[in-house]
Amino acid sequence: MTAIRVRINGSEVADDLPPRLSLADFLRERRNLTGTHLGCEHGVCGACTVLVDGEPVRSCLTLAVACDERAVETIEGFGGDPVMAALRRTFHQNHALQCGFCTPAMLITARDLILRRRAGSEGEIRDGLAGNLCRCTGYTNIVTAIAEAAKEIGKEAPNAQ
Amino acid sequence: MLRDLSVNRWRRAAAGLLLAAASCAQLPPTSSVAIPSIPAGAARLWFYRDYEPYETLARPYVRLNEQIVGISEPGGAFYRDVAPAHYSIRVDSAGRDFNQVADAELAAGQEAYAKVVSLRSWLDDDNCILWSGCDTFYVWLIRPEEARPAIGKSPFYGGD
Amino acid sequence: MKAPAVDYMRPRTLTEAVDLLAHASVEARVIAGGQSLLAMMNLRLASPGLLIDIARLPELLTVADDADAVTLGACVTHAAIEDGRVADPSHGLMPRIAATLGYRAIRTRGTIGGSLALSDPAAEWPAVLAALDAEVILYGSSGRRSLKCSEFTTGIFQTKLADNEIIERARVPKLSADARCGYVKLCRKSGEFADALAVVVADPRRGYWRVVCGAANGAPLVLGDTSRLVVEGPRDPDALRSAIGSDLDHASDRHFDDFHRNLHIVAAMRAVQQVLA
Repeated sequence: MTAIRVRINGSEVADDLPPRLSLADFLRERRNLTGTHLGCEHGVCGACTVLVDGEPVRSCLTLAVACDERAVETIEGFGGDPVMAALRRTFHQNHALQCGFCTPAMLITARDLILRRRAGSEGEIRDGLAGNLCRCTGYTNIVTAIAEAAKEIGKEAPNAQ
Repeated sequence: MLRDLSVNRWRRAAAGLLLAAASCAQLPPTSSVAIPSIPAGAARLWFYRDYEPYETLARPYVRLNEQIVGISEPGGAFYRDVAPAHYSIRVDSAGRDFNQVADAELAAGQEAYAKVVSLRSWLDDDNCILWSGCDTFYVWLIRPEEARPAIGKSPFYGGD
Repeated sequence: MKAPAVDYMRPRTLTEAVDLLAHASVEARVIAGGQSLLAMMNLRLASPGLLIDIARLPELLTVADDADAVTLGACVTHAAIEDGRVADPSHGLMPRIAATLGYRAIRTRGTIGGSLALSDPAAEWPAVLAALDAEVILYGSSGRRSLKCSEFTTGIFQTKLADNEIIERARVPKLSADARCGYVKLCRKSGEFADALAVVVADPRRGYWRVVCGAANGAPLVLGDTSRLVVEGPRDPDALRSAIGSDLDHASDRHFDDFHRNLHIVAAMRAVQQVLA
């Protein structure tokens, strides 16, 4: 067992974990944050995507013990984040989810695309979403929702990083 | 509008559609067809192509020395018996790239295999081909050991 | 699927890491980004007894930018290269390639050293580093040694990395300002492993030309005749196609089926064209 301290959605958490535990399972089983989903557990489907120190990672391919002293953000977080708020609204308005299994990770990936200015065109968005699989929607409404949110964010804060 | 059609006419139209769709799917695999032997003095050239769910469904003309000799169907195989000669083999293609045309010197009694490849859904470093929707076709000569198993499984579109 | 039970240690220095590796009583593996190793463990294709986490070792995160070369620590991530957050010796080639590698969430953890250590035949870095004539610096209990990247990978998942060694850095010679590069990756879906990969580097000022094929059923393949043709000509499509085909056919340690042979020809010709255009 290995002791870790990690910040999850702004709150400090200390725990003692078996090294084999993935960040995904730590969040879901130990912290009851089940918004992070597990699809393939080998990095391809993207449903497990969370932020570690502000960058998207595959929580199924990250050991919880390797996140010692790190800040983790899951879909249950992002309170007050304007980009996430815009995305949540445009996803809702554009019917960009059906079963919702891919959605938390889609939102986190989309937010990262917008912040890195990689959501400027349909082609760019689709390319950026290549690592997030959706079995329900056929992606069209997801892409529309992201493009809409990107435009909105661009308009509101042209100098935003 | 449905109220105006007699139910029987509607049923017949639906049955006809189903039959048409079914017959397209009913082409036998080439391995199950009795293929006549190559006529004396002629050479035989086989054409085949993969079927992938996200690949183009385009059906371009196949040309030998610019003459149209057939149509390349997604996943389909066919053959043509030709006079021994040098042939430049290509498929009509909107996209232009390297290595699209195959050259074959065919002798009497020879059997050669040409695979039609579509790279429309293959990305290059600019990731642009997918979005331009530009069908790009290639013809590559393939050795018999590689070609025959693939052809055997492909629906047979005929030969002459 | 879940990873099997494993022990975990996070040494604070590279020397400590190498010591742990040398003296482990169980099968020990170093882990950096873990994007390949953890996938293998989740699929139960790998079950080391001990993971030695080197991702945060300061010695492996350094970037040195000197007159002739940029030396990247082994744990520099693909995302850092993509974003241009580290010095770039290749005038944009490495960031361009990094952006096509997997997905962003993989790139934020995966490292250049990890890619080299695994040497997946379809991976980008082994081919690119071979094309750029880079060196890999290895650190083990008997000290440091340096190898050309083009010789470091010897086959499919095969490298000259010894059991008690860790990849420390990759030293990449700087391209001249007027060097030209070509890069083509053929794959069905954004980010997946390549079905054909071609990298061309032409740096006449340094007298350096190299054409490399990746995703080529083995270690990255340097196309000797084709490289010579890029310099000396003739550079017409027929001559190039012939040279590429000949280089592929003369690779003694591997065999291409006709489909892949032709696919590599397309990739290599497009990459050469980027340099000649």
